[in-house]
Amino acid sequence: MAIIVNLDVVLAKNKMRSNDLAKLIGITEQNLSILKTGKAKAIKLTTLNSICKHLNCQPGDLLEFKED
Amino acid sequence: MNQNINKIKKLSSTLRLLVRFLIVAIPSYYLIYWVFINQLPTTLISVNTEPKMILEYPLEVKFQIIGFLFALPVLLSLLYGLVNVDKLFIFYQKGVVFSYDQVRLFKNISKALIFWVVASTIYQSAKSVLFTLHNPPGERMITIGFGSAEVMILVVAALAILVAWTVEEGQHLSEEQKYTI
Repeated sequence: MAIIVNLDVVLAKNKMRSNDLAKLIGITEQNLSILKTGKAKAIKLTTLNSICKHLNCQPGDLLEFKED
Repeated sequence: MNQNINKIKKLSSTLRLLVRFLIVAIPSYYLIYWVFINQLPTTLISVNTEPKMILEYPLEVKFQIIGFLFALPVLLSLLYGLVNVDKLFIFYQKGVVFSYDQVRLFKNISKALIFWVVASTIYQSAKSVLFTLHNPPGERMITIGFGSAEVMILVVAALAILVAWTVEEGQHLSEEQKYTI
């Protein structure tokens, strides 16, 4: 897919672990892993909202478009 | 939703028993039929009348074997269909209702039904030849039949294909939902 999820980069910048973020935004670690590995087909706006809130970032910091 | 899944699981377990019984019973029926063809009456229930035999003139062993060989494609397509139905029920027993494997199973069932119609038509024609083989000249015959039962089976086969496509679409939706975070 042309959309790349840069969640791991933003997590590293915030020095936060995946399982801590998963707990904060109320999703399972498995689902967060799906998101990080780029297997996710879609992301709910509420999930994106929670991630941005807890990582203090913009959606554009998390998502990037690259031509296939 | 869970209630429906429970119903699916329960009914599948019961139907699996029936399918497994048929997987054993159908080959046995065909075998018994051709082994005892010379002794079999047209009906097992005959009250106050002499039982009428299927064959007027007994068949030799080689023709019984030929008859059974003609029955084999019918038997194999039936068994193939039943084995696929059994596999389908195993998925339902586990509560899996949408998967690519099920799409494949539905397509296999459909193929088995179509092949069964073709094999069955050839088998019925072969039977008509074998059963009238020892009749006097002029009374031997070959029949080729294609009736409402065959049409019905082809309709069921078309339905199975339609279900396969529907399950395929359902599988896409299910996967999309699974990977929506």
